[in-house]
Amino acid sequence: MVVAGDVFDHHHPSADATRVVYHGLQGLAEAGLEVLVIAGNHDNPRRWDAVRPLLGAHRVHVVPSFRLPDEGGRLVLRGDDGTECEFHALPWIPQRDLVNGDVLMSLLGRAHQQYAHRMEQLIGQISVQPEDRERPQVLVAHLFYAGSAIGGGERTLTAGVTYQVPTAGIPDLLGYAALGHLHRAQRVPGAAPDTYYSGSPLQLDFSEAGQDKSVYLVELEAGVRPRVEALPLDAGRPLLEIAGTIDELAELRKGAGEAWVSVRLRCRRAEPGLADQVREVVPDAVRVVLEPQHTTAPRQRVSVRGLAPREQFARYLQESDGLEPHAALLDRFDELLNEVDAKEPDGAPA
Amino acid sequence: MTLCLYGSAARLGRGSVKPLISPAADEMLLRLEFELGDQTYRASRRIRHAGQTRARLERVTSEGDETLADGPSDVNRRVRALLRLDYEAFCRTVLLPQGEFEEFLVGDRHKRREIMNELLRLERYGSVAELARRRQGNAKNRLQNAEALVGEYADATPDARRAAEELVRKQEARASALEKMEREARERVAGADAARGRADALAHMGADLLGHADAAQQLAARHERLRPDHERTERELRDAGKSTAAARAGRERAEAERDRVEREVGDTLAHQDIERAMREASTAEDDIERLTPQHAEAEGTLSKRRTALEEAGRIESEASRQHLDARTASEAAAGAARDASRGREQAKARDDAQRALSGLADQIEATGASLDDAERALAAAEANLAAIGERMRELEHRDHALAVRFTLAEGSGCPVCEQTVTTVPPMPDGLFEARVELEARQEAAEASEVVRRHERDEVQGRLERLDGRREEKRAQLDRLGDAPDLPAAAVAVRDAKRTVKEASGREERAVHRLAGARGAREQADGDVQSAGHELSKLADQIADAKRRAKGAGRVLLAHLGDPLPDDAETALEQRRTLLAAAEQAASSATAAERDAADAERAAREAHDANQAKHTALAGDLRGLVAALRTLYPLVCEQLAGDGLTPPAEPDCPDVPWRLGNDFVAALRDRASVAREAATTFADRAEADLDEVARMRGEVGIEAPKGRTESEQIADALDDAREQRARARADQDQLRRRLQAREAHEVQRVEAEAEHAAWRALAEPLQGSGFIDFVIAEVLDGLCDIASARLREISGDRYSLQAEELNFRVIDHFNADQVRDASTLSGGERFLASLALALALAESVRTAGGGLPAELDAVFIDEGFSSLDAESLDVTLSALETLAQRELMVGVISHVDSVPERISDGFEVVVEHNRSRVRAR
Repeated sequence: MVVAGDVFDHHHPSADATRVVYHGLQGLAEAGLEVLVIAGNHDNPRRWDAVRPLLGAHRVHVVPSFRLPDEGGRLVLRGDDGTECEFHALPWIPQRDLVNGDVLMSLLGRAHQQYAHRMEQLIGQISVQPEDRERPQVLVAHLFYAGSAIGGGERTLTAGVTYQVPTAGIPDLLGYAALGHLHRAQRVPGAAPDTYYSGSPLQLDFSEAGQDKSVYLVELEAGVRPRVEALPLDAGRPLLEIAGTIDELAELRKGAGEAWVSVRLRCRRAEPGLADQVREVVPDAVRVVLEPQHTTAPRQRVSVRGLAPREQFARYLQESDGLEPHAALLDRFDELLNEVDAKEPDGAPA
Repeated sequence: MTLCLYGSAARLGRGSVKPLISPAADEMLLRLEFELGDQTYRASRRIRHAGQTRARLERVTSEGDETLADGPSDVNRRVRALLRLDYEAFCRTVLLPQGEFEEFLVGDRHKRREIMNELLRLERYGSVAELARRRQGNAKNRLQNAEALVGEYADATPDARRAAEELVRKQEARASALEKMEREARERVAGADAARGRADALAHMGADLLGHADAAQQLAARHERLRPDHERTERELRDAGKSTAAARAGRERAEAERDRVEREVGDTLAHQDIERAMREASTAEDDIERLTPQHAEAEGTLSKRRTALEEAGRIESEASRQHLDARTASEAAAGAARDASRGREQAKARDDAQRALSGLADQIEATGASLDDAERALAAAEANLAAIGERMRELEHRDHALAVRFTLAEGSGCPVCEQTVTTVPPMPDGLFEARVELEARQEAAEASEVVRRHERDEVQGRLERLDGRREEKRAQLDRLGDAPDLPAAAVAVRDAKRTVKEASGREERAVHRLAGARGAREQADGDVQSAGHELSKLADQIADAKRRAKGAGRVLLAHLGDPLPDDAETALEQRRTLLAAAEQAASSATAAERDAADAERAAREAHDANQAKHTALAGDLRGLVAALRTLYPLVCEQLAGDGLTPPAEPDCPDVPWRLGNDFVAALRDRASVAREAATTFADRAEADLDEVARMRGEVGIEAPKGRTESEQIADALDDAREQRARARADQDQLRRRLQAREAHEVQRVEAEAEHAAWRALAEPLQGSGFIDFVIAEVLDGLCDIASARLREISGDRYSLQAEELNFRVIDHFNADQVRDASTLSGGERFLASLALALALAESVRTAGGGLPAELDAVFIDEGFSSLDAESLDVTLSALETLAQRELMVGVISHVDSVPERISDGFEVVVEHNRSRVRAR
């Protein structure tokens, strides 16, 4: 069982969350599986590292941070039938670990390039050192490949230009690349060999409402293309989005089942207590977002902030009188303002 | 960082920063290097327990460091100018201090207004409004002045000008008519005067001619009377001449006789002279013999006295040289005495300085002890103030919670936790009083702290002053280091005084000697002179005797060869008697001659008188003839000029004998002709004057006494001219006033426009309408930015809205429900404040005219402990997002999970009595 990162949602998970994960891992191990876990960007590598020996004793192999192949970055796991498979682990690497400080401080474009470039090099390096070429080689990585589809619940920064890695970097030697990070289950287009994101087991964000969640079952054989089958998952509460007026909601809600609901309410305008009314009809409404029908076009506000004082004054006169002020009047305003400014002591705050 | 840049730190509020110094250390050193644009700067500060704070700001370049400011206040000012932020603004935008940056979100709305005022420099508009009001006032003054000026010329209208022109025309007509009349009158009067003049001249001529006729008659009569006298006088003159010649011959004979006798007498006299001369010569030779030896003796005396004089002179010069030496020695001694006494003074000064120094050391010690006391008292007061501050904050928290409680009602939803309220908890008593009491205590504590601070500063100042004086004394001692001992100096002074006295004694003696020698020399000089006089007197006497001898010799020589008579005396007597008789005879002959000459002279005089009368008569006649000859042409001319026929000239004889009656009659005839012509002219003159009188009557003016007719006409003319001139002058002045009025009118219009323009500017700026408008708009803009940020970091849940200086939060996940910002939970509040602070930082960059300093860094001091794990995660992700947007984000936190997420940074390790910083 390969878990390609993001086991927990953030660095300090609660005791309940920890219990779920450890019991889950234990269950997998007791079912006879060898479990490989790498750390993702949401995980706390030091906590994983602290518990790694204990888990390792129970057939749960954790790679919390980047290791060279001979120092724990490459694992060989044996299946029930005795076949061995080599796994090259590439946990999440933060930008500052790959990009020099001065490059970071300079143009951002260079930082992105350097990160992408070095990631390519790393991938290339670690995966051309197989211990035994007879074994199937698998890359397990937590990263963001350019061109993949974002599920919607990812942290924008980590699924953007800063961290994207070009797909051309995966060497042919590998049989399969098991990727974590993106929530949508997908095959990465334009990448060879077979490169898959397994996606999240649950719908985590309303943008994933309606997405089918699955886990990939992969058969590997050295020298042969793997067979990949998607097994659907339907545990947990799905997410549902409905939209309509408050009267239509009751109807729309039918068939929601256990789903957490996000309501887009069409109404004339915002009123206090509207959310409570909606929750009376839809008790599982996690959020109620308004879609007012008669949206007055947002007041085209030219920010006065950016205007020169002369223009600010002109706007003020226009608002109070309704008339366009004369240029001569504004000239006088400028003249007096210059006189006042000329007397300013040094160092007045801007 | 703020301590280094601005000398203030948030933790200390307004207090002194010295408590931050480690207790065991004397001072603390701070140094901060920062980049601004492409320049690197270094700010450093040294703060001591005792003594002044030193500070410096430098620009770091490859060629070396350039000092930009020195001293705390200079550095503060320069930093403010560089960053364009003062401490307050810095703490709102760059460094967000613990617990304080939420103030902008949920704090007092008046404070928010102040902050906005500061950031946007809105007080400038107040100044602008003031200036506009002043300009309006000035313009109003100018308008009033212009109106007053226009009023001054109210009388200058076009109608008035037309009336003035009409008047001028009338006066001109009158004046020219009178001019014509006056000219004519003048001509007539002049003509009348000329005619009268002619008449008078002619009348005079007639009278003259009559006079001449009478004179001619008288001349003829005189001539007759003179003729017989003339012959008699000629005869008498001839006789007198003959007598005179005879008398002259007799006189000449008598004089010849007398001369002969005189010659004889002269010969006798010559012999007496010779005898006298011989006697003279022998006397003179005796004298010479006697005087010559006396002269030689006098010469000897003179040369002896000269020798004595030389000797006396030498003694005198010797005495003078000795006197000079003695005086020089005396002056040298005086100089030495002055030096010795100066040395003694310096020794005294040095002893005094040493005493003063030891006194100061004691004082400094005592003052140091006072300073310690004062510092302790100050620390106690500050601690008290801090404690009270803490209590205040507690109270405020409680107040806030109570404020929320106010909004609760049974059965409604709690705005904070969104649960239904079953029972409303009661309000505790005594809160208000407690708060009031605490505020009073705070005031008192603040006052006491200020007092203690002053005291401490005072003691410190005193200490510094004492230090300074000690330094002075030390420096003085250095300068006097090589002064001599006091006793040695006193001895030197005494010796010097003794030397002075000796030298002055010697000098006196020398003066005496010199005076004596000088007296002796003068005496010798006198002797020499008297000897000289004696010698020359003798020489003169000898010369005189020689001269007498020579004279006598000359007389004898002259008479050499003359025979000597037997008896010279008798012969002389005889001859003198004869001489007397001859003289008598000569003198009587002379008398006779004189008488005869007198008679001749008398006869000549009579003859001459007669001749003169004759000549006079002839002259009179010639004169008469000449006058007539002159007068006649004049008369003819006069008459011809007036068209009258002149009479012919009468015949006039050259000699008076020939004057006859015809001549006289002709003269009388011509005279009457002249008189008739005179009458004609006089009549003509009368006619002209009558005409002039008529003209004057026409003019119709009253005749003042003493003025002639034509003068009166001239007066009338003058009057008319005067009136004409006045009318013209009035017209000119009116024209000028009209012009001036128009010019002032133009100015008044301008002033009116100016006043209206300034009022149009000043009125809208009255009050705070414009400032409120700007603040409201800026706040709206700020909220736009902050909302965008907040949506980013709250997962699109919240956005901000500004309403009358208060912030409201819109919950998009709850149908856009609007809540007051103070109802947010700790984590939500942190995020909202952060979004607002970042929006502020961005506004500082562009509001109020643009800011060249780019802010690339934000520091957040604590605040994370109020966040739960979920919110902390969201917050740190938000900060990571920020870090990608050209900002360096610095975070200060004691919460463990923060450094786990952020690997770059420093760690502060606390040891027993100090903290250390190391890089992680």
